[in-house]
Amino acid sequence: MSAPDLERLRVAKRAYDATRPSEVEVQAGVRRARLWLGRPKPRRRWFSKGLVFAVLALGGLAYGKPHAIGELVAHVTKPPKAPALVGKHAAYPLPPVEAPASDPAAAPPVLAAPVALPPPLEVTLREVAPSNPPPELLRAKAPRRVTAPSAASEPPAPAPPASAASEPSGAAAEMSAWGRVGQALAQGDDTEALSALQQLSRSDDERTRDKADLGRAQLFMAHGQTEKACALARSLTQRRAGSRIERQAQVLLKSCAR
Amino acid sequence: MDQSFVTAALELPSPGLPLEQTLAREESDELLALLYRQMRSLAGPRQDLDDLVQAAAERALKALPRFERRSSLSTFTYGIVYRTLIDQQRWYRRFQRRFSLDAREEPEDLAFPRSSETDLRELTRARRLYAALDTLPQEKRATLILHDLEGLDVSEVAKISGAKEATVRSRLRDAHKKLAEILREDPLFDPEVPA
Repeated sequence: MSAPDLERLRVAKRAYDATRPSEVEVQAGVRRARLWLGRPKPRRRWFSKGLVFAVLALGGLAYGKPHAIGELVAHVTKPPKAPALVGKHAAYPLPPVEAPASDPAAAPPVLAAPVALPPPLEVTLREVAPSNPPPELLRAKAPRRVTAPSAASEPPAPAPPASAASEPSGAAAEMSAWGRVGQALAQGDDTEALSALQQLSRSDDERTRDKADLGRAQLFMAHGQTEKACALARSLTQRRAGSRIERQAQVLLKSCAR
Repeated sequence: MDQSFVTAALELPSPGLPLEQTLAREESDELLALLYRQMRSLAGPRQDLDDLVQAAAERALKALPRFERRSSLSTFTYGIVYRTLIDQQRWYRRFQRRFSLDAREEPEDLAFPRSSETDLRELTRARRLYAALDTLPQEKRATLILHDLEGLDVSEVAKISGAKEATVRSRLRDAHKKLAEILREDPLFDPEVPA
């Protein structure tokens, strides 16, 4: 460096020295550093990792099965109801849809009396819907599946006592209706079962409606009334009734195409 | 500068002493003050100075038990400050590359003393000096500050920066050349201008 450059560097050093931090500034900085260092820093790595995992799991579930989150939330928030007619885990909430089962064409009078199932049809039904037991099996299983024994053993839909403080709730009514279905199936009275299922099809709860419609479709199919069964199954798939019910409706629809 | 502190500090870090207990001791204030001064001299008055001091303090308190008295404590802490600053600069460059931020903000609210007209002139000079230093690469900038402005000798600068003395000299030569070019064009640094 030349002499003038050295002189300039000396001037620069003088400016540098003049702007050195004062004691007050240093103490303030020390105080801030001490506060920051002394602050408890919760290092809960497991919490953040768990949170990320939960968010990813929920996000994946919501992406893969859009209905699953709603079903899960409703399953947690709603009180348990009577078991479904079909399937072990049929008690899923479903998105609100119109209930096409309310049309009079699907009314049970078509079955005036219990019809004995022809063997080939039974075989076909077993082949088509292996997860859904045929009505005969349902009959055999129904009494055990009804979790409200009082509803199953007592006469169906008894009138509430006049002294009762309030009317029976919708859930209780549904329970007795499902009890009727189970009892009718156990006794081989398919007409009564269809009637009870039709009543359930008019329920305010879409889950109940969908399950009842699926039961009706399966009963219709078992009795050879394919058109009605297929119409119901088609409506169930169109209204996106939920993964399990929709899958079973699809199985029914496969036999419609044959 | 730190002789009294060296005596205290050598007793300060019992091996494996938790950070909280180390901080509870009064000597740590001296260490923090030393780190603040050193970081202020190397990084200059910038907005994230506190963050840098805190990062350096955390490193220093963790590293103190490993201090083997081969150098002065000041050199030891200067090394930590230097590495913290370099790491921060590298991180900031990577961050800038990924997220195209605006150019670095001008340090308008620098905590310079402003007591008289002379101070104001020095303040302006200091601002221009820091602006000139900012044009240098970080290693050369630190080398020049440590050697020319802080008055450390080459061997100490070499220890602090973890480089060979020849490298330090080379860096100094380059930094001098670049800085002289900038200062030559600035009339404020003209030796004929009265202080």
